Amino acid sequence: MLKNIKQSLIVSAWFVFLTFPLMAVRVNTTEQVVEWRFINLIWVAYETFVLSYFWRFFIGAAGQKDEEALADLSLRELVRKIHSYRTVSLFFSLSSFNFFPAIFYSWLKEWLILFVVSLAFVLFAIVLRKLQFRSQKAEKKRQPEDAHGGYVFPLQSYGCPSGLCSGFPAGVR
Amino acid sequence: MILAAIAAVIYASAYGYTLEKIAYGPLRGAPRLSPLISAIGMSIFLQNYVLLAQTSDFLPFPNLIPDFEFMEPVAHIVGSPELVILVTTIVTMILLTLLIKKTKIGKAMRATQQDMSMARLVGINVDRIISMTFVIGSALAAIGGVLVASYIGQVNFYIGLFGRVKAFTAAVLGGIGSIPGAVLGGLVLGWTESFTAGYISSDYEDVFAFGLLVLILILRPAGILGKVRKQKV
Repeated sequence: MLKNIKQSLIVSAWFVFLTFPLMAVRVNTTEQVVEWRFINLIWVAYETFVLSYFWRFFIGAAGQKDEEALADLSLRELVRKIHSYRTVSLFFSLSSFNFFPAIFYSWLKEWLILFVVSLAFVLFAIVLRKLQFRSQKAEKKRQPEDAHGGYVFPLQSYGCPSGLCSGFPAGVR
Repeated sequence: MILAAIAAVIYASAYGYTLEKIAYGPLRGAPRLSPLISAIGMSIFLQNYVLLAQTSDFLPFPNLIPDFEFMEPVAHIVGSPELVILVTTIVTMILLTLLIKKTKIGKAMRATQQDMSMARLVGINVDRIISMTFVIGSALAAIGGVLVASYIGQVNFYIGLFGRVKAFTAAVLGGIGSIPGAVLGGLVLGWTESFTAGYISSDYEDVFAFGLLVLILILRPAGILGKVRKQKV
């Protein structure tokens, strides 16, 4: 647990460093002043720490074991496992930990929706990839589309006023 | 300008390293199309990240390149910014070529590019080499970005797309894998656009530039300086 916390702190510090110029500094060209937005960095630190920690806790710890176990599972068992306690817990934890601050800070919602839905879709792409691998169907060519959908879907959802459904054709078939 | 370039290089390298770990590392064994799609996805993500964190407006960028006095007699042909860009391009091209051809890490890069499995067998840390390649590539992109932004005089979140398309076209035109070829491709592309804009119409500069690309790819599929490698079976 301590190791996970330590590694998550390192990841958090790295992302704070990485996002500093864009998230903290903003030049107001109209008034010719530099705006310092250090609150954004606190949110970056918080978000990346939570995501990193839960990722390690739920996926990283049992990841290798799962990889080996998945190879021996039948397709039906695999589907059941995907809907297992761990996956549901992961999404629930991430959602609650990330959306909790958004209740109080409405401006955070756009970021959080983009971020969490991205993550959800990347996970979805990974799951689909595993399913395809297991089913041995000639659908491997579609994997890039899943990955593409993973990124495009949340961005379209963010940008298009028509709502989440507008992004579906990009990632879901 | 040097300080700006150093800061840009440090941050771009850090972003390159992180992106490699997040978006390309997990796709190491995947088909070739997957990293490409992932790259497009990451570029969309980064553009939107800058848009959200900053603004969609064009922001003024200070002219970091000073006007040299000795350039005044020929300023109507070549200005100081063009000279600095040309010199920087030549210097980075030479340095990169030396790095790739002469250094240990360059040899490891070439070995990794030729055969990843074999490179692993001879003791090359392939993951580290790929990360290093991304860091070097991002650092060079940062130098290019600072020069372009200083030359144009303004930046916005979308500025990279234009440069990326042109850079990729120049690399294909010159020959993928050849560093002097990429520079030559860039020059040919730039000259084609300038001559078209000057003698025909600026509306057609992209048409002629990409038309030339199509023509060269038909006549020399490997690019101007690219070498056709025969694969022995």
